[in-house]
Amino acid sequence: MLKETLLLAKNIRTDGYDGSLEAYRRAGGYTALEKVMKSMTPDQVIEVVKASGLRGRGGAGFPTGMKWGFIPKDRKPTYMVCNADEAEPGTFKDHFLINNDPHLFLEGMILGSYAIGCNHGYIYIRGRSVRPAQRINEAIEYLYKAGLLGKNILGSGFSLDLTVHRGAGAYICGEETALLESLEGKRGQPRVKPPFPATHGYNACPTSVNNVETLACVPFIVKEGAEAFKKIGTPNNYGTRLVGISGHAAKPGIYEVAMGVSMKQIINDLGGGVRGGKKLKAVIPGGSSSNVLRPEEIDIPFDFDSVAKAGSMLGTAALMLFDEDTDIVELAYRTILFYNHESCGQCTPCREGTFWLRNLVRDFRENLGDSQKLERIGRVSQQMFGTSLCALNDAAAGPIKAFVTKYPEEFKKHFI
Amino acid sequence: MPGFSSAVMKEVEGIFQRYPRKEHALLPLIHLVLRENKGCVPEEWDQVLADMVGVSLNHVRGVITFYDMLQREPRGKHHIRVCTSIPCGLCGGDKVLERMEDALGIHAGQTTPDGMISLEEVQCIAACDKAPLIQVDDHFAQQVDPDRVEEVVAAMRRK
Amino acid sequence: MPTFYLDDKPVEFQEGQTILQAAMAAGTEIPHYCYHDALSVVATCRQCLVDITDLGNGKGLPKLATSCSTQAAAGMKVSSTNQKVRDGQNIINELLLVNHPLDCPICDQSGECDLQNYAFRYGTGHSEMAYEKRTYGWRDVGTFIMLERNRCIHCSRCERFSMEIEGHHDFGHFLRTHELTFDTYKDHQITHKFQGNLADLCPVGAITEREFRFKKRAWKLERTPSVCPGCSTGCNITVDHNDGKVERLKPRENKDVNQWWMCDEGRLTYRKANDKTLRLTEPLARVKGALVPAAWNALLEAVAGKVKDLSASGDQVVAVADLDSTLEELFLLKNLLAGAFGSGQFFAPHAPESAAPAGARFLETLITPDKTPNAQGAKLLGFQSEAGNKGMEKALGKAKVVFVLGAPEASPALLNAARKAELVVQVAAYRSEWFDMADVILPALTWTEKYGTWANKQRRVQALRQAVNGPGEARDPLRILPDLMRALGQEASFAPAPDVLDRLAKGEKKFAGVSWKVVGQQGFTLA
Repeated sequence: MLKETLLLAKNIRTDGYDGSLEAYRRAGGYTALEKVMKSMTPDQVIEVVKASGLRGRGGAGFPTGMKWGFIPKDRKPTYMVCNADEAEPGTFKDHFLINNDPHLFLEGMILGSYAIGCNHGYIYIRGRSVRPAQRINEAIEYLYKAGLLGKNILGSGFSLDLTVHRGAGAYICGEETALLESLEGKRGQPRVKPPFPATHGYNACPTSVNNVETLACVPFIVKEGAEAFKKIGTPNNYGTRLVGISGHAAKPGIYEVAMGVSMKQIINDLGGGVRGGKKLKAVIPGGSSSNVLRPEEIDIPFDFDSVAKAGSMLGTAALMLFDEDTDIVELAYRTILFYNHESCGQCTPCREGTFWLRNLVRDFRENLGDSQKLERIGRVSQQMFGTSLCALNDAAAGPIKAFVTKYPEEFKKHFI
Repeated sequence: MPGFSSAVMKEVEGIFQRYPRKEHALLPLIHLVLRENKGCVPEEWDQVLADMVGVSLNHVRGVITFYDMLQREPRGKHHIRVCTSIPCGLCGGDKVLERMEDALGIHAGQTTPDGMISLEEVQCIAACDKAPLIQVDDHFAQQVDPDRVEEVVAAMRRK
Repeated sequence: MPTFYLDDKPVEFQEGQTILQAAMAAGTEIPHYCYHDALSVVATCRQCLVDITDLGNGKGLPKLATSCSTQAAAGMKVSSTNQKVRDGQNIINELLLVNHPLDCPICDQSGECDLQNYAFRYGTGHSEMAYEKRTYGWRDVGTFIMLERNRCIHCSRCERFSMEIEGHHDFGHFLRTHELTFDTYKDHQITHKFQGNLADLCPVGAITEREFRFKKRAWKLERTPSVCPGCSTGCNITVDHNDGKVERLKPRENKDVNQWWMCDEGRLTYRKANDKTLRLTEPLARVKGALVPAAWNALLEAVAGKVKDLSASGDQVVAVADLDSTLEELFLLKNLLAGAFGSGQFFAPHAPESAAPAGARFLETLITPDKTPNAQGAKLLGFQSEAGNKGMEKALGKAKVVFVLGAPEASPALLNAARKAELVVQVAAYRSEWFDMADVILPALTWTEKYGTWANKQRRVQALRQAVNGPGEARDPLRILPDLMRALGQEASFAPAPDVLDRLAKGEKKFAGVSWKVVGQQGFTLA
């Protein structure tokens, strides 16, 4: 029977824990910050994060320490930006942390800011998350009062302000350069890279954009050391993941597991398998932008590399289960509808391709499909893949291609 | 031309302090407009906002039409969002929306004639383990049973 | 210079140049829409995809890359033609056609449309899209341009021009997804003087010039390089014409003069080139107070006879020239006066030069208050120029014979002074206020019908080229002036503009070094 490995959700799983500053400190919170303020240089913080092998939890899995190391030391100001725009269907892990233990990622953010020499950080949170934004703002207020934010933190000479910046309804703002555009008061349209945010980010200054869950890992790493972190997980995939189980699971929710444990076990032991004793038809392992897996494909280790090897993506570790009654065409339609709606529209393939695919999949939904259209969905999604400026185009094309490739029989049911 | 009260203008000054350039404060300012204007940004505000942060009118319009939370028409006193994305849509979210439309007598995107309730179909609102999900004002209602939608609406009407 | 390999051929590049820029400089076409030399790089149309098989370090890129946003690097290997690239180009083209109306038969851009050209060159030539397309109506967005959003391919050049070059941000983009639209704010009308450039930048027929709307199929146009006559900037242009009629003027790139731009006033100067109502098409002689048609030779002889009768010389002979006369014409006129009469009384009236427009933006300096194309040239050739010049009025008052070249700007006082002369001979293309007092009118070609050069505000000598034929019996002043000289007893014969320019360069110190060849298509700035 698979059990949770509690690293980030340790406090949350403690009875009576309310996520307040007092409770967080009682549980040993902000001792990492005290340690760093007293005895570590920014470079030492970067080094320990590098040594831990921590990879970004926002979807791409880029090594965090390396990312911080890219920030030039001779340019000021620099910015730390926390990406809390979580908006991918199936994904709710960051909100889990924000709502239940906001200080965990905030401490990580303060540590990260110190590491890259940032004196003003921004937390970009999606516009509709009104309460979570309030939650963070309240936590920040307490931090200022406690002298853990503001001028001369813990007498170290290091000063930091944090500002919560609310989006206004655009999934694409989770893409880091779109997020920066949005933070600058513009439309959230991804930028051309290079230059990269590490040199030309917010307000054209060196900037590091980090996911909530990523930052939440930092206090542990700083406090317990890189080796302690590397004891969890598998090589190149260290630490835990907050897995969000949803869809037709018997016990949907957030579960924290060591990376590399069996995906099948996560589904059955933690998620309780499929609700109502039904059979499993499909699994989406890492949020709506990851490719669907058939039940026979899920007996794999749940980490970045293994899921990628299986032809999908760990992404946001949002496991969605779909039972035998699920109409894959409906699933495909909801997917393409979402990406069409969220395409910023600037690149040709994404703007026109998601529109076309949406029309094609809708035909199947209305029982107007035929073999030519099925082939066309495959062709268009295949050809548009990899041709846009940002990953949203591929997040739309990849899954659609996977649906028609892996479940052609489901589409054939909707032939005219 | 519309404008903020002097109390809100103090907030605006505070917001400007938090950004290296005034134009970066456009979204926070728009959120203030939403708060002060029944959840919408009337077109008359475009010029006001443009002048306040020092950008062009097209910049403001471009931003407002980009984000799907930003609407031009006032919302109802209460605002209901129904998620029909995956997984909600596949866990009954589409039925919840249907029932909601029936119960309210309006389509998604509309407001009841008495101005009480407005309805919006939304994409993922990040609480997928509670699917199907609706959001009433700032509160989530979880695992909504399509058959109980009428009760929810009736309760809201009483409020 | 460092080198990279494009389709296995070495291409030299400058540090910082992108693959697309280096390829274009080397004469290789990589299809593109959103990229433009004048504008920031957005890399959103995705048409310029290439396959980078080696970044110069032995490693390639797994995905296709946009050549407009990727800098060339030494040793880099790039394919713009392999199957992977072809597939990429095909799908981009096909997707651009998904919502495009394909109304080429009624589109003014047809024949010079990038989308059309690339679809044939790089596309599959057909689309499998079978759904209703997004549609919008025509929009009246400016005094000079129309907007047809159905044809828009969202390259954003219009918005970038509005923000980065013109500065008013008249064009913005609104909404998102496939509903993304480039437009002006609600019913806002653009009124600035550079709207035509938006039509030029638009790679498709979404923004078109009202003036050219439904007038001519673009593929019928012949394009002759020339110079705008509208002001002293001398924007480099092409005169686009068909069947002897000028249909429009378009800017021609010259980084040192007008970059890629020209103003709408300049574009409208083509109307006068086509004008029939004021055009002079036959030689005229004043008989009993009225101008009546006459034969060329007889008239030239009559002028010579009259001049002899008046035995005018020196101060009694004055020439007044218009500032749209070419350098070559002014040179011959000056020679005529000096050779036949020993006179140095030549004038080219000109409004006092007001300060050149200043501004942070290049466009703000494009239109000058001086509405003549060759004021600098006349000045350098020694033509006295200030309007309201008492000397000019005095000289005219004493003159027996006045030669008028073109229709010089003249105050009533000046005209009154000229009226007193015994003989006024005008060589001109159009009727003007001089018409009433001219005794002889010799019809001339206008700027679109002849060769010659003008010197602009930078003293840059730039060439006009003949695009169309002149009407009726109108003749090139380069022929009329020698004919007159011969009738007056001098040795002279017709020589084409390049030859006259050579003589001018030898005869006038300030023009040393100039020749038709060095002027070429981009001009030559005098020392």
